[in-house]
Amino acid sequence: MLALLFSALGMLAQEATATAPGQIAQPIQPLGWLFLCFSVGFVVLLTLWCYTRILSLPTDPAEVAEGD
Amino acid sequence: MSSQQHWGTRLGVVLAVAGSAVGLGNFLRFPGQAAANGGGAFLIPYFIALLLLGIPIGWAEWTMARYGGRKGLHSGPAIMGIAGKSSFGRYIGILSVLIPLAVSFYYTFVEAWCLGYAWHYLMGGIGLDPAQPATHTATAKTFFENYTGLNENGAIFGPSIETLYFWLLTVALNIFLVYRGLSGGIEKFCSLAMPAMAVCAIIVLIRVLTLGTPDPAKPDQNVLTGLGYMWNPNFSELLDPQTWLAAAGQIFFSLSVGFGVILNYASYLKKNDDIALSGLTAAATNEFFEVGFGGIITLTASVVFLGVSGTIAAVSGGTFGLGFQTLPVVFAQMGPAGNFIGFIWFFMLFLAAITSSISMYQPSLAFFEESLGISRKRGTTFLVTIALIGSFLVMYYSKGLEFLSTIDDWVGTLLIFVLAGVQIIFFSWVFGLERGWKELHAGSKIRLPSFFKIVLKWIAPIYLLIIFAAFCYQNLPTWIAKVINSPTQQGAMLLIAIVAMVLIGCVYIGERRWRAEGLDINDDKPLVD
Repeated sequence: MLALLFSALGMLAQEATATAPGQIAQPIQPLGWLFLCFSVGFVVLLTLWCYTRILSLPTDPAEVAEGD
Repeated sequence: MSSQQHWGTRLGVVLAVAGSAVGLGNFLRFPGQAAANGGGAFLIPYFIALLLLGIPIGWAEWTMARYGGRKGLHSGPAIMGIAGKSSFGRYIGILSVLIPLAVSFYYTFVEAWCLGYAWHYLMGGIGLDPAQPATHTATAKTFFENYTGLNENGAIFGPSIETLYFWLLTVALNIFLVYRGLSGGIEKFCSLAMPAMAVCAIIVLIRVLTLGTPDPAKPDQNVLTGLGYMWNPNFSELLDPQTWLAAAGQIFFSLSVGFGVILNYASYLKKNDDIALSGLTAAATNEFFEVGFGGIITLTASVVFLGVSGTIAAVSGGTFGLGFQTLPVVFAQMGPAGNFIGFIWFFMLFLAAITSSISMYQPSLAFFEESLGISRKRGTTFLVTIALIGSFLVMYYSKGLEFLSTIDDWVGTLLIFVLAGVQIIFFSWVFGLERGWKELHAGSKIRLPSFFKIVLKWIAPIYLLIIFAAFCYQNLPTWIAKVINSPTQQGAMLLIAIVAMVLIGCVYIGERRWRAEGLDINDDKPLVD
């Protein structure tokens, strides 16, 4: 199974890298979508998880006002 | 005085640190770096560097800062002295003030450009005639050159006078916010500015993704091709060490570790205020803007209107070229909504810049107050004096932006590596990893995997050292040659040296004062809770 997966990725990679990005105008390819979705999805989910954790924590008691 | 300051909320310090990190580079530098170094494949070394370099060094900085704050000290040199258990730490810690202060000299200038451009777009654009698209590139270039004084020194008092006015407004706003203090100024502003930035980015993102194929005569210039330019992976680039260097460098500068800001900001945290989750959240926020917005908006919009070859040329023009020359051409071709989108874009860049610049002033202010034992008002006066002189020199010697670039290269790039390297070594090897790990987890709302112990002690320092060595090998010979051959660059180096000498003097005075006050400046005694 793993061998099949890697060889499929390898074929996709060959197709994607046949023309280097930035040299020939080429719409986004399946691997490009994969990288975009994974990368953007990762940072969005990580950010959401972090803020959800922070906002769900109990509020601290009122702070001492700064002495300016 | 500064020791009486605290962050108002848990979220406030996160947004302030994130605000410091999110800047023009998220939207302009990152996409160019990614597209030039493998497209989607760039994200592999990028995320590796995030995990093994950026976030761990950030955690180390947060930890040392809070520890130093508990000892009653909030300035970078003092905190580095505690972490390094020595005078050496204090003097090398000068970098934590020199870096943000020197960078602020030119950053406020760039910030003024953003505000000025936003104003122009609000008022109808920068003079690009929609009926004459062939003139757009040249007009945008001329506008930028006049606005920044690129063509001659002293232009700030001539054709670029408007920029001077916006700069004065920008600096006044910065000083006002910093003077109001941590909670009442910086935190309050960032709590508004960061969400506003996200809203602006979403507006621009939606406009860009709905551009389709504006010119039927150029079917290749469309959104999908734009996304392809940025995200289609070129795995062969992963075999080039330059790609890994570029990725680590981008993470490093993007997260603002080794910049001196976190060292000050986190010193105002209390004993059991969380560090791990806060540090992770600040880093995640930065990545949200960088990958989520910068990775989709900038180059996609450029390809849609300029094509791939036009975009390649734009990227090669650097951050400023892409942001202030290419994108106006893009906005001019967006039709009636172009000026509105241009205003939103440059206003967003202004917010990104000001949340960064206020963070650059705060470490210096805290240091002057603390080392010289002066009031906030006098400290602000001292800071403003230095900042005005430095910024004036940057703005006056604007030809080729050479003075600016010199400070950016030597201080805003090279010295950051040095400070971050010293910080991670102090944290893991002088302060001690086990003590640092325990301190990091005090009050923490998440438990870090023990794998990060190895990262903090071995991987991050070695990774950083390799990146730094490669960086020096690649750049130093050229940079040194440029300084030798350019009086302007020599002038910039002289300015940096003078500021450094002033800071050394402040450390000398501070050291004596802190000892006289009985502060444990070499961390000789354990903290008593």
